[in-house]
Amino acid sequence: MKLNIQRVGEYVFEIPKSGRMKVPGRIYLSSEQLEAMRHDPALEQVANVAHLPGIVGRSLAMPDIHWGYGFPIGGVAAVDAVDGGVSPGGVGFDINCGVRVITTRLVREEVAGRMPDLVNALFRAVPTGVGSGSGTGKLGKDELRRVLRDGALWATKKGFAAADDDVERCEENGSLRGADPSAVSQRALERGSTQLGSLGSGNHFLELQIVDQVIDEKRARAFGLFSGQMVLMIHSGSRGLGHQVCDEAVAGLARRLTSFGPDYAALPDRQLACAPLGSAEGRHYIGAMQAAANFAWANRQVMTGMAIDAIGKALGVGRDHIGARLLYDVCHNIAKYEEHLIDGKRRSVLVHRKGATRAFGPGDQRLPPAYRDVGQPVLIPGDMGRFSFVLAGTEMAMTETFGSSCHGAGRLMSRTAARKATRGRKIHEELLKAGITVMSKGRRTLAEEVSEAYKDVADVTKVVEGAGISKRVARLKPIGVIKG
Amino acid sequence: MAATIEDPLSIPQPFEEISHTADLIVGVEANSKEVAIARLVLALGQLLSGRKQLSPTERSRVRVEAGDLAVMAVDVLRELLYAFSTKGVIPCKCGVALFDEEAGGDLMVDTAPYDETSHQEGVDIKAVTFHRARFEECGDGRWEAEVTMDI
Repeated sequence: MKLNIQRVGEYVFEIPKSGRMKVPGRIYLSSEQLEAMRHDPALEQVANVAHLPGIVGRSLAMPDIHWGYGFPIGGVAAVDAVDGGVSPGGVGFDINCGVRVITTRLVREEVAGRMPDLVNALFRAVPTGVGSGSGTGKLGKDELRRVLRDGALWATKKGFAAADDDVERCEENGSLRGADPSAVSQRALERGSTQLGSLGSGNHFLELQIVDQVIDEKRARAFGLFSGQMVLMIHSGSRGLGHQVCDEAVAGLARRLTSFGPDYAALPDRQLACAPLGSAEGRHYIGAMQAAANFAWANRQVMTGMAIDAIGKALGVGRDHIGARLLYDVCHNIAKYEEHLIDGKRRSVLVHRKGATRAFGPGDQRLPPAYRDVGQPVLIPGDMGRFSFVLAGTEMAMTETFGSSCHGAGRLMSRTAARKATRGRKIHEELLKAGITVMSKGRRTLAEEVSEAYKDVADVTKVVEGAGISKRVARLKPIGVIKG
Repeated sequence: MAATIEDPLSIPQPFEEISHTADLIVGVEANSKEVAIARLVLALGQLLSGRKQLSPTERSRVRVEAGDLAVMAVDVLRELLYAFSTKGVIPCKCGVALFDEEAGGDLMVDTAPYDETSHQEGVDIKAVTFHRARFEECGDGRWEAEVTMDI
């Protein structure tokens, strides 16, 4: 398909409505970034998403856009909460894959010489890698159902925490209230029962980082960030439980694309398969998806507790000395009911964010009181060799992107290309020379996750700031990395 | 080469890793649809094991509903990925009793146990997707199939 892409702002491009598209597409990119991906199937996927039944506003893509399956990674689509369809592929397999940052009182000088001990301790404490087992031991079905209902709160009640206000500092307080554990299949429960408190592999990580540059002093202060401070960033999701929930939902819908009417039958990719929100299938998926999202919050919360304990043991200091506090926890693979101002009217919509982060602006009552004046913390991991960023949501994000921003750097190279490009290189040693201690289960992961396989997250965040949908607050530099 | 129950295919079998920015597209070619589906199954085994040699220890049947061949192929791989996730078993031999749009699929799959140490270079496949899934005859008796895996 030849796409007509028109520039409508310095960092904004539009794909006008054509064919069976219900709304236009809008892509946030610099001209250079667009040129580099002119022939990337991800752009066509933005137009494909514009076919979703009940979609409102625009099919959006953030500057970390890359080729996904069905939705592009970096895609955002809101559908009418009554007449729209939910697309399990628009949430993705790793339901509520997300990021959290935990601030500490520790500073660069105190930890720089202790990196091997710290990284070793974290690697031993947090299960990583393919099929990695549980940090909590195998959970019985009743206990697992409580995890699915309560999310992060379940984990804090079990003592896995940074501080006593972790739950308040998670998006949605770390639990979606509509979760229906009974909608989660036996197969998904089986996969989840042995994986709570585990990192997984691929692009998931646990990183020790230093606040390398404070860009917005006022917001950094509100977020508890200061120059030279050590923070912990965790990127993980709902593991096999979430994968199974999505897998079953997509497979069920892909076999019956025609049963919900012509709009559903005409979707341009089977992986976009949708169910009407009011249908039994739609309600069942939403209940199961929300339960899987809660599992992911509990997963990141359990790892938080394990990681803080491991840091304390490695440094021989107590929790008071570490002073850990959750800055925020965001999900970037999710569909959530939210109210937004669309064409001057407040409407209830289901916002799919597939590789995109909620980025609510100042004044929004859905934010924790501590952040209401400055906007929501937006946590953007980069790659393991360069930087990550903390941003803040803006008013413009609320009117332009359903309160959404980017979610990471975005892949540039395929995994195969990254392995070829790094053949013969010793990534561990290269990173160590750059002051980054890394441990991973397999060499393959390190090769596939090498810095040059990703866009520079500084360029990505520059675009969202330039477009006005987020504001850069601080830049974080990795010093210790755990990979699966 | 027939990939029948009596004469199953074993790893290694040829397959192509087609470039995809974030995920992995697996492509196979064959002289019959039975060999094509068996090669997809064994590609999954080779990816999960990091292309290591595997010795079968268990045998199971995989049955899928009739339908579009691409959907059936994805369903076969989904079932085997679930077995890997829960039982830690990797496909290494495959015979096909039936793979037909009207009658459904029935495959015999021998598996080997996953070993965390020797298979650590294996790919962590999260899911098998329907995105651009393709399973088709090319007109000259050749069959081609492609499936995208989320990793």
